[in-house]
Amino acid sequence: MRILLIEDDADTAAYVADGLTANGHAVEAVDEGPRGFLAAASGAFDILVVDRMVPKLDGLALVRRLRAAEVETPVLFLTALGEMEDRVAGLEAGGDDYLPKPFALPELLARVEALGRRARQSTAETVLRCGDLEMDLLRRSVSRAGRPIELMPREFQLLEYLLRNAGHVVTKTMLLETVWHLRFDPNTNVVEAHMSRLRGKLHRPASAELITTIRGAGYRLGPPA
Amino acid sequence: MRARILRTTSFRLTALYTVVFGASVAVILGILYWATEGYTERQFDATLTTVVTELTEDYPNDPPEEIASDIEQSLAQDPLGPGFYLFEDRDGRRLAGNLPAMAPAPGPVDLTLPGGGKDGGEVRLRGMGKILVDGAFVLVAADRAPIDDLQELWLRGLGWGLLATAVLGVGGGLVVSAGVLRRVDAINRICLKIMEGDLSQRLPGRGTDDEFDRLTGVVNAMLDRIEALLEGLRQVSTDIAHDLRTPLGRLRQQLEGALLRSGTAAEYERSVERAMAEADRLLGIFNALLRIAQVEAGSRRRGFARVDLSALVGTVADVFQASAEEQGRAIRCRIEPEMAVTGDADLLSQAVANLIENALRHTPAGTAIDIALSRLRDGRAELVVADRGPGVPAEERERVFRRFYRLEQSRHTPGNGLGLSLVAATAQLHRAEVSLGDNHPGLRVTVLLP
Repeated sequence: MRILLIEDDADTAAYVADGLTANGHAVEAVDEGPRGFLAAASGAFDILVVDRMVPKLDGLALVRRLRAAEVETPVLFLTALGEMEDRVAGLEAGGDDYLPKPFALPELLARVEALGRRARQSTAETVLRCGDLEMDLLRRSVSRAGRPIELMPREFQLLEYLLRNAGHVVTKTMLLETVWHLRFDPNTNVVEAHMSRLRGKLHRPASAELITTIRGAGYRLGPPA
Repeated sequence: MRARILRTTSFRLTALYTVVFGASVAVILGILYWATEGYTERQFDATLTTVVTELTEDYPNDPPEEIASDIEQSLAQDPLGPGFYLFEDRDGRRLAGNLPAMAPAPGPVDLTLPGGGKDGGEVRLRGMGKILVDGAFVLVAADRAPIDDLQELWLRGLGWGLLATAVLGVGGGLVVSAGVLRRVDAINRICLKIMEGDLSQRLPGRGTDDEFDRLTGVVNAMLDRIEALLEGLRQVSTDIAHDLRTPLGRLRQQLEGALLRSGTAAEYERSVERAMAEADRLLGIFNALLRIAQVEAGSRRRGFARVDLSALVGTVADVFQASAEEQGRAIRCRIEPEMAVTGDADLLSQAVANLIENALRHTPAGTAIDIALSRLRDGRAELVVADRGPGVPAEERERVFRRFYRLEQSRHTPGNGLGLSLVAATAQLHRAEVSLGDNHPGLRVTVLLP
């Protein structure tokens, strides 16, 4: 994907740009607001990664102007502020996701890629598939190799999120946010426990393991896309 | 000191009071003076009128010579009589008496007679004149010294009275002000010491429960509060430094180990991973501290909204359900549906999560955790998280809410000692009450949300 990074801290910018480039993305970095706005308004990018505090034109104002100019490129805010009010302000200004500093690179990568997919994805799908796993969103039913699997409502949501991001890494915090609406990490193995339970329900002796744990990053459903 | 006394509020008030009091004393004495002096003068005039009437009552039946002889006789024989007479005929010729002839005028009159006194000096007289039917004129006068003496006595009394009032007022003002100034100076001195950093100083009181004592009492209470807050702050800073030193030390050890051991790539990787985990722990501590500080600052009240507490507690319990079951425990929920409160959903979730996490951490595997949410009769929401672990001794229950405070028995379980601090801060932000109780056995945490 083509990613525009608007970040004034040189160290952070280099860290993010290197990390994204190493994972096959094309990154252009800008260190101040107005030039960032012009670059973003050109429409040449798939994702904008915007720091909340950039010189001359702060991140919030920048995104608000972009949205006013009908530039709908997905925006991921980076911030050192990190707290909920700031997150709400960021989303209200037209941001699509919010990542507090300091963050781990896999987290940023997973979120940027998820944003990119979300922009391309159609929401009209009623059946999600991955290998021999099938989820019917209308009937709220799941089956593997044609045999039904009983899931609790929360497990269904968890699997749905994994399916929508099949082939890509989703992080623990992304799961906590989307499935349980928790915006903090309880620090214990809560997600691991849910995941192993889901694995148990999806397991079929004849079929391959569907959920892979990616060390230091998160989980992936199915083979890498 | 002297000039400062004059500038004190109490001195100014006393001075003002003295002026007002002196003025009222002067007015009262003035009224008394006019009343009594007028009375003496009227009495004097009445006596003179009686004499005049006695002299002239048969005139003109008695001839003028008889009046003249009466006058001469009185002058010669009556030492208690008025003492000064004049009798003139209609043409202004003096027929009798010891006063010089003058233009006739009826009624009371004040005269000055040069050389009429016993020592040959000037005499002030009070006279009463009467014009007779044929135009003759009689004047009887007396030395007005008694009236003047009384007047002088009055004026002197008034003067001394005012002087005494002024002296007492100003003197009293100085004494009172000096007393007040001494107490204020004592307070100032101690305040200066406190400003220099000695927070243990307290303002002196007299124990008389006067307005100064009440003021110093309030200030002392304020100082107690400030001292406690500062002590808490100092405690927290020390605790932070102490609790951060340990993970930082471990982080350094791991990095050092990686550097020293010429190991394989896999060994390096393991060391770096352990170092990163340690760094994450440190970041977690900072995040928790910042969050607590932000919650305590109270600004998040602005973001309060209606929160479905039943759903929130259910969701948070659910997130822990799977990991609890892995340890062979049950999280049993009894949640009354559709209970809403006004608050911050993220903070409330985290507080509930911290309580459940605490229960999971500090109780043995296989024991159950009970979560109950219900509406009390007074409308408050009651959340109870109860476990069957070792509990918290009653004397420790206040302390576990302090930052970094950990019970001796749980020193080696994971956790940073900040979970309950955030619960307490969140509860305070929501004006909720948190209390720890005994679950016989175990800990029973009760949160009452308005």
